[in-house]
Amino acid sequence: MSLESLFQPMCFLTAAALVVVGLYAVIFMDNLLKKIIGVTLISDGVNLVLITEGFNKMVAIISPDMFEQGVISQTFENLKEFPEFAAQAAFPLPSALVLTSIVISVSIFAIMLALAIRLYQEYGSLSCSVIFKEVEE
Amino acid sequence: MISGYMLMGYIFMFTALFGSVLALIQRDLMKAVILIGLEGLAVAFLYQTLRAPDVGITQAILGAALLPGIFAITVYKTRREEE
Repeated sequence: MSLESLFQPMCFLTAAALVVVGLYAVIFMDNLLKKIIGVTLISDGVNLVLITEGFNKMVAIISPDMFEQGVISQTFENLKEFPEFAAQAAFPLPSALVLTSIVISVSIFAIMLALAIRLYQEYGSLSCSVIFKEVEE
Repeated sequence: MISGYMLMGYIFMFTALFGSVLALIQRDLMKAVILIGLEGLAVAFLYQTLRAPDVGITQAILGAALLPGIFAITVYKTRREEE
């Protein structure tokens, strides 16, 4: 097993570790801001899983010299095709999905932080135990 | 023989993991916010290494610049030290 063939499994492991660390923060941390940081870590981990799924590990970097020598297309004149590049490129569907997911998640975090500020104005603390104690009284 | 591209990917994975763990053990919340920005930047460069450059650009703008900005505004509006 060379280090290059381990690249995609290591990316999956990184995403799994990010999700685990985020879940730990959401469940066990007391501060509300640390919990929201944990949610951002979970979101990053899930996006990383999807992107790694579309990665093709046989890909070599296309140099400008290789880009010059394309195959002349049969159907269109004056157009070059790059069959090797098309065979080696990453799968585009996960990146199209994750692009939307990132933008939506930032707006969700903005709403969560605004509600955290409102809770601080109401109860004077960001600690979950203090907030729960105040709610019960 | 490992290429420099893959080596950069390994470095970014390491940075993302350690940035997230270090952000959660900080007592000062502003340091935690800065470390979350570092983690977002590392994930953005990791997307570049995984051949999704459009997602990498979006993550670098939103996850590494805008999100720590909103977090910093929240820390400024509330208290800075974790009790």
